[in-house]
Amino acid sequence: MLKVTTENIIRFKFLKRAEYKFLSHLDILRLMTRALSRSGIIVKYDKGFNPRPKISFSNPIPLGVESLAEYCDLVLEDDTSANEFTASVNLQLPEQVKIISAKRVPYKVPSLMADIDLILYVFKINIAGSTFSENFMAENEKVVKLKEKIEGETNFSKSIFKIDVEYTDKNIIFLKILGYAKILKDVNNFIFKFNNFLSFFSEILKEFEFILDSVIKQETYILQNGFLKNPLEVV
Amino acid sequence: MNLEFKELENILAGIEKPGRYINHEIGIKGKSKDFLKNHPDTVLSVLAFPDIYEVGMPNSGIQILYQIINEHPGFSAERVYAPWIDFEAKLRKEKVKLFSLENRIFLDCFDLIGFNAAHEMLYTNILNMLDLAGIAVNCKDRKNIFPLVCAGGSATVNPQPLSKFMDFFVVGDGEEAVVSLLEKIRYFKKIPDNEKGKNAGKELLLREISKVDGVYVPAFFKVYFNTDCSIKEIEPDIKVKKAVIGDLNDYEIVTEPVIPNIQVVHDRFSVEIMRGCARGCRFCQAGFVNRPVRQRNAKNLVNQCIEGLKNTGYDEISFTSLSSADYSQLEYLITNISNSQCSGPLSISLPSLRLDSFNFKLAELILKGRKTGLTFAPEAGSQRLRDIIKKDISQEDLLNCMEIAFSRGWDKVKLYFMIGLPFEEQEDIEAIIVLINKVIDKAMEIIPGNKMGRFQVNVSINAFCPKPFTPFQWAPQDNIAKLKNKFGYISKNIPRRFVKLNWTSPEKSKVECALARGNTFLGDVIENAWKRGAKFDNWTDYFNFDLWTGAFEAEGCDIDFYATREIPSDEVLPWDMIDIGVKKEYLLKEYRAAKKL
Repeated sequence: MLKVTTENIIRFKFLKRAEYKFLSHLDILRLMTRALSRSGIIVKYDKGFNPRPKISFSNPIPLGVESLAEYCDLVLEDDTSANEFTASVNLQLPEQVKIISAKRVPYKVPSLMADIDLILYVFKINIAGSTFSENFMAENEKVVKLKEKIEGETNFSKSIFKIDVEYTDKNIIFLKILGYAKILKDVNNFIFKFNNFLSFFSEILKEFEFILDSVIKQETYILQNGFLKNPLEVV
Repeated sequence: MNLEFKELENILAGIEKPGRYINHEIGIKGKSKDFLKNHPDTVLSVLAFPDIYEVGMPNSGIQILYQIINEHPGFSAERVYAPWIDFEAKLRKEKVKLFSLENRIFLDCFDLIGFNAAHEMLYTNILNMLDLAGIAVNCKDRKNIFPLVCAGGSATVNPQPLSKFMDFFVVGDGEEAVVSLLEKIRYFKKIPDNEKGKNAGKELLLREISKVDGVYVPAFFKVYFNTDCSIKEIEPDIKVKKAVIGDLNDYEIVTEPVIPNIQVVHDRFSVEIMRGCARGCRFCQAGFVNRPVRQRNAKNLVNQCIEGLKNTGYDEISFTSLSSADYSQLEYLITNISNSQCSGPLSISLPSLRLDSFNFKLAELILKGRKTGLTFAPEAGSQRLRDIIKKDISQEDLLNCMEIAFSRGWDKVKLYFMIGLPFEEQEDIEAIIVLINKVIDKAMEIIPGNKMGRFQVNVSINAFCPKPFTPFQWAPQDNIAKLKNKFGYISKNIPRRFVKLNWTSPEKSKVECALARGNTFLGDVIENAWKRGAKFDNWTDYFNFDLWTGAFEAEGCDIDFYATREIPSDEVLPWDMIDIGVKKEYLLKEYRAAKKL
């Protein structure tokens, strides 16, 4: 069972958008640490030889990918509420990196990195291709084939929990890939390696004459009794 | 005129550390796109650092000028750093001209490009950046008045090697000069074209700019040579006085610096506590060219530092100066800063702390936060040679300091030495080994045996490089073979245990020396080397001596004439038209005094 804690643990969700998608995980960590420091929020330090702030982040995101769902846990020195925390830290953050929600965690939780099972990436793809198509069915068939092709590639099929395609009225589809973030017991899965997938995927897109417009990390999930819950929903 | 984000996104695909090129850091100050649109008469300048973002961002000169220019309602300053090899290739392939960080304005659309020539090994990068911007590297090939191209920074105390590329130089402190010269540009831009005269435009402007203290305009000077490439005469026989700000306190430290997006070489809040140095070490160019010594008021400094730490959120502060321990109120400063922590532990570093004035209390104070390494620079191994170079440290001082440091828990020290110093003998080289052994003995005496495993001495050996405006400016640099012999002796005889030895390549030092003491001919050599592919010369992996020897040969210049020759004291020096504030007679007296020891 989860142990109740007297520490003020805050879990929050933040965005990483526009120019800042080009910053690495460590860069964002530094940015966040400094923003906290500027906001006057005092983070607890551990008692190591070189004391480190008690902050931990969700899984690193690939360089160049925007994210709507980065998570972070930290322990505060005082009893600042989640709302106060969000308000004062957001004042110190650039518009490209903003906290969108925060919650106080009343008990000790496993680290985000250990807990997160799945990551949802959304690929925005232009299927009009180089030759303008009036035949929607033909494109549609291609999309089905595209999906089959990814699912057929064992390396990736074993690292993907689920693939969905969302159609729009324009020549745009959203390919939603829910990939494994870790090896799960009894599942016999692989970890979804984004960069490997992207190079494999670019080849297929070329073949289909589709154009990748952008990729967004939409959400991260923890599997709880068969349900997908984001890290704020489990606490 | 500028690059859109979408275009930037496209060219950044697959680029290493794209965070270098995206701007939007905390603390940026350039005028916004909208402001510039509504105020088209704003004088647009770009501060260019000819090395990559990580190296250039911590440069305090850029941060200071950036602040001063942007505070002015009529001026705007943006920044640009040298693109790394991969991004340069992409820019060239996609035919995208080099752009500034803030508004991604192409460099050729600015009114003024100011390079920080912090040292000589950046020269080829300056040319490369101009070329990437689609700007002719040679002044004479630039048809338009704007952008004007200028340089400042430590290396420009001898402007001659860069003079064919620069419209003007700013020698000395930039704080006041930059505002005055931007005023001149603003005024000039208001003059209707028909009143300027067709070809006199640029000359008219440069004449005006040349009236600013510290400004050297190469076009207004003519250098005549003897047949051996030494200088016969510089005309007119007038001197350009270096720019000096009398009181540092007139300018607050930059309390809201731009905070780098990515990890940079010195990622901390850096504070200049003092400018200039009164020590007079005979090899040290910075010590002579930054005179007089000017201190910041400690009380104000404490307030500004606390404000700066609050504004930035940094957990490390670094007090910079040429000799921090000479700052009269260092203890007051450190006590007050370390007692005022905003949040979390704060670590303090003093990069240029001289060991002779190092004491217990200071050690205690610094130790309060996290421990940082200790660096000492005895420079020479023997007392005799330390006297010659006027490095005022005795062996006893050094060992006493080590004793304090080791007993306070330090287990890593860094020692800097130079080889090839003027009047150096074999015994002086041997003395380096003796000194290192004594440091190790001291450690073994003080540090408990079970902790000796962590003990390490990092020994760094540099080849001496005679620099302009020092008493050793006339001295020959050792040739490469001699330097290699001396280093060979050290590496053979230095104790293997506890010691990590590294040294700078003597080939690189030789090129540095030639460029430092070069005349206008070296401009051709630099251009030639750059055309052969020389760039990032300060990067060990990219420095290529063959390119440079090839360039010297092709331009008919003898590198030894500039580097390893003893310059006769009556010869006209390439930097003689600069008045640095220290008389040549004094430097010569000091050189002769060293010779006598």
